[in-house]
Amino acid sequence: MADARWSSAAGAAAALAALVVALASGLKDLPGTWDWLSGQRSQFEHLSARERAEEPGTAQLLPVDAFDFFRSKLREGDRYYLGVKRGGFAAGVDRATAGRIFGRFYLLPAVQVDAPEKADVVLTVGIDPRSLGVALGAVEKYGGGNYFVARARR
Amino acid sequence: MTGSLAGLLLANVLYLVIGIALLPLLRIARTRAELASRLGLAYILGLAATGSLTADLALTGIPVGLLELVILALLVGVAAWRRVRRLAATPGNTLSLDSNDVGPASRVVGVACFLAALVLLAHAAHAFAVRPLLEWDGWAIWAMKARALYDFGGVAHGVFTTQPYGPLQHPLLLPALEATGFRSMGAFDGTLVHVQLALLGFGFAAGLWTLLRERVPAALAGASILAIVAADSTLRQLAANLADIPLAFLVALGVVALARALLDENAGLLPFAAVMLGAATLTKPEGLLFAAAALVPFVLIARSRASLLTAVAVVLILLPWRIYTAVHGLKNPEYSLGDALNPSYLADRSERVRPAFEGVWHQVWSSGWSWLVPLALVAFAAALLARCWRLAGFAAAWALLSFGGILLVFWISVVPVELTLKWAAYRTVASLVIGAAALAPLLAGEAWRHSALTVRVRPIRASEGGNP
Repeated sequence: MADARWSSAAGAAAALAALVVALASGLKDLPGTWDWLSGQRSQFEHLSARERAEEPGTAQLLPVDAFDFFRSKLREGDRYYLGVKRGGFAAGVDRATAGRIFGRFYLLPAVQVDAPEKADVVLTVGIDPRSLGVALGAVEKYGGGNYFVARARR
Repeated sequence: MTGSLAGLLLANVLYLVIGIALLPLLRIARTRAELASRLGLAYILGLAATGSLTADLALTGIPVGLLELVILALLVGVAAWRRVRRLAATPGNTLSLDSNDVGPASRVVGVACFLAALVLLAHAAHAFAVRPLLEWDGWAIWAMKARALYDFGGVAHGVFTTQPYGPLQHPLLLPALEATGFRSMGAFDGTLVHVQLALLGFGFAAGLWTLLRERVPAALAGASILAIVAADSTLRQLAANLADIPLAFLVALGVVALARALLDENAGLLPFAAVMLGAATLTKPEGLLFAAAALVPFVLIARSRASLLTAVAVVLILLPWRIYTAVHGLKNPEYSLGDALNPSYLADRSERVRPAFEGVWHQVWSSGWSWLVPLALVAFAAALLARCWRLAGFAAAWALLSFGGILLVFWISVVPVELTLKWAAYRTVASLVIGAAALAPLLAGEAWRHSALTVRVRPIRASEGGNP
């Protein structure tokens, strides 16, 4: 019986200790988490709806205006190939990979394919689309840089 | 284009309605009193059940929006209404809230902490409502899949089956939930969709409070919920639109519901556990790991038909997704669980074990989780000292199997170990840490209850002339 009393007393003491740890943990982090959330609100509330929509690309230093140009030339369900001139990139992947990953998200509901032969539309960054070896219609160039769009000729 | 917040909120009200209806239909509430006392489970139950359904419907190209949610709410609502009319008006076997408390001070502290957690979540919703998609995987994987489901009404055009859109092994609950949100808002809105994540946080807090308060002193329940919600990593990772914190919330609620079933020796919460763990398996591939880590020891300890049925229900919830991945040959490029059963494969990669263990261990103890791990360990010690063997055994088995499972994933992965630890370890441990912290009040509460019972029994025995 004494053993049972000891174990229940020790259990109760440990339960109280758990309560103290829980309270201390919550109260320790509450101000910092609150401040971080306040900071997030003040950092982003001034952005326009358009700036918020572009932020995934802007934050990665990608030329979102060029992707807006691409998007204006694509229709729902279009299959497009995105060719990007190779180059370094700050986010840990090369520029071509970063551009393709952003395109998969930003250019929906058009669908990216992995070869120009499979594409309805060819989009390129820094590359002449006629160099890709597929028959193309008229090539359009974006005024803000070396970004090109051409529909595949079937 | 911006979406309508009102539309998103309406969709979430419908999740609540569906959840309220499911409480009697799934026999989680067997009396009217139990229905009233378990209303806190309703929102997360409705969200998880509807999310699982919409993820499965997405595989067949059936989109779910406000109209479909209204129809679903009406269907389950009418069925529930008919059942509720037949429910007994007598109190159920749910424990009285007041019976667990140690006095008014506990209630004041507990309610204050719980309200503080809710206020923090409201603050999060306010911040999330203007926060764009920022984190790479948040938009490149999760929001991309959600947007594709919204644009195409389901899996289509090879977006979910062809490699440019990898990783393809992630199941679709979170993207399907967000796609339903976009349809309800009337537009794809990568900013407002974060409000859905904050609402998920509310559902977790309300659900955990309800599960704990039937058994645990208010102070323990409230303080633990505040500790989880306020921990630096919880809301930061939730804001990133990654699936790891939603997964952790579902796993934690499922594991606590299983633990409650062990303590109560009652199957009432098992359907809730099945829905939570089933939804977890549809949230991330690791969801299956955490669910199996809970269900295997649960079935072995409970040894009941109901426990087996719970495990079967979880498998059935996952089944459509597994069929889809099998039909389309979708494989995880980073690891295959079959390699975990291959001794020579494991031996060839044995040099990964030490860095994997150290990396995962380091993340479990990361300051981002505040003192959630010490909380879980102290509560576990309390349960051991009070000889709550079944509960302590279940909690230890789940935590150890989960930790071992995480370690195994990093061991068998083909990605260089330092890279995969850097990219994924900090968030893969979220389910383990939050799940353990959610179990902590139950462990400590049982130790406390045990000591209170011992104190009460002793004078009675003494007055009866029994041996002390």
